Amino acid sequence: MVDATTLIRATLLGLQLGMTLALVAAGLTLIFGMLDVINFAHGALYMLGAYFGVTVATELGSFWLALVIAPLLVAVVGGAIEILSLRPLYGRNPLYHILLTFGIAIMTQGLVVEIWGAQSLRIQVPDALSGTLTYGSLSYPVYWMFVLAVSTVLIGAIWLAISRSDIGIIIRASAHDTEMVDALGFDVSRVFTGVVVFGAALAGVAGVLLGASRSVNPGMGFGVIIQAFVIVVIGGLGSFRGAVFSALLIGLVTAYGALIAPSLTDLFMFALMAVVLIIKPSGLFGATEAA
Amino acid sequence: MAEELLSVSSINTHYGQSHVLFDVSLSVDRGGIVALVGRNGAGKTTTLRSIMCLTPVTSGTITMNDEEIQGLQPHAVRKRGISWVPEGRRVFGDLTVEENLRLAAHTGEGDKRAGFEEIYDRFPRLDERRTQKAGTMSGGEQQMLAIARGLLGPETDLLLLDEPSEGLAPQIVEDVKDIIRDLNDDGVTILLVEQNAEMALDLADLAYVLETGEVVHDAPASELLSDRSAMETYLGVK
Ligand SMILES: Nc1ncnc2c1ncn2[C@@H]1O[C@H](COP(=O)(O)OP(=O)(O)OP(=O)(O)O)[C@@H](O)[C@H]1O
Ligand SMILES: [Mg+2]
Repeated sequence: MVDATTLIRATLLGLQLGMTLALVAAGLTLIFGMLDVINFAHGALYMLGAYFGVTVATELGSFWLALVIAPLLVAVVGGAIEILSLRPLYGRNPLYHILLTFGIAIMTQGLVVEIWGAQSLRIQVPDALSGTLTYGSLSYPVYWMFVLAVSTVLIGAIWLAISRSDIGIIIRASAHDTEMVDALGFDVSRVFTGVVVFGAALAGVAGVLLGASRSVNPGMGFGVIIQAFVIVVIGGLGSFRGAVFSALLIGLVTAYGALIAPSLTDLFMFALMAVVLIIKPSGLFGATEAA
Repeated sequence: MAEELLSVSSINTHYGQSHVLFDVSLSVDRGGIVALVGRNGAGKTTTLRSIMCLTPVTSGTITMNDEEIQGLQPHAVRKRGISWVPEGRRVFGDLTVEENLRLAAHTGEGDKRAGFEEIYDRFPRLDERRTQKAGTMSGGEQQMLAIARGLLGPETDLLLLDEPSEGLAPQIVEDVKDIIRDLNDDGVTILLVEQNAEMALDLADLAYVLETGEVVHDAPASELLSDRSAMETYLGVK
């Protein structure tokens, strides 16, 4: 039998996994919603966040600087990808974008091996965040709580901005009908760049956060992109709220699944996707056909 | 002599390889209502999309207030005072009425709040439904919202209306007609595309008939409306 302590611990783990995945999936779904681009390079941006984090943390000796600077660097890379390579292909067959961003992902991975080597690295957790919290029989790393807190605050802030602010309205409207937003007087291409830059920064934050609790390695980009895709599909392509809900769902399913059968967690994830797609092909928060 | 607001001269438009508009020319005077009628697939929507630069022309010129606009981006066309109310309305269904309007007002200048109140005065039905999701409204209400959205933001000198009567009950069509008349009385010039030729011609001063991508006839609207044989030849109306 699973006791309460194990269950609480799994729940915390699931929420933490869900919220960090939401950071990656948020950018992926917003980019898809606005640009109609399936950005395979998004996992590479997450990975770059971790590697930049490693370098900043070792060179400057500060995890905190890494947490701020690395995502900014990733944002610059994201902006460059949008302006230099995605932009010329807008309006083409989506296959072009898949090939392009897939190519970028592979090249990035190659570059990372070239620069940092193929071995696993790790970002040093700062002293203030090391150690474990204990409560009765439950013990949980402080750093993991920190990751949960930071990602929850970020996702919450974005959630508010998307549901309340004018920029949020533009993003939601563009996910629905970009051409109409353009015709209403918005230079959507500027919004496009902004969304890619912002999405890249979020992926970078996730990379640094997880780079200190898991290993930083050249395979991490492709590992996360699959999960992020499943999340975006379950949540409904283009829906931020859907991505957050479904990321939490995946996080919890994975964490609880690990209690039952650790080797089958991926299976649980895909099974969940299959069930959702059978019941609601457009995803949990996807636009219905009529709209 | 009335002042020309929009002039479309000899435009050709393609969708990829397929040639859709052939040497289309038309002119809209400031303060008027011009109808563009024709059968299904004649190229009415494409003409409006070309003016809005959504589907760029391959040749020819379009001028608004004597400035050439072909080749601009749609958002720049909007800022020149042209507003487009598309076929099928295309309101943002997941957004509330208020959010739809806020979005449109966002690009405008000056006091946005006054603009909102004016719109809510003009469309009391929208006022009652500020927090309703646009996608859950009736076709007529969505049409009102689409028109209201076209009036917010940059000053609207010319309103391009694509099939505003589509799918609406006769009584609602009358309401839409009243709105179009009111707007025109308030100084908005209108280019009206309709399959419902009788409705359009009843409102318009001048009419152009499109047939497979060419302008085949133009006449004062009342003249065309009473010309039974032209109505039947061009529009299949008996
Ligand atoms: N995106 C597109 N790609 C290719 N061809 C198109 C496209 N849109 C329209 N067409 C073609 O262009 C022609 C003109 O279409 P358009 O929509 O302008 O006609 P319309 O007069 O507005 O018709 P309706 O009264 O049915 O709305 C048609 O033959 C149509 O099939
Ligand atoms: Mg049409």
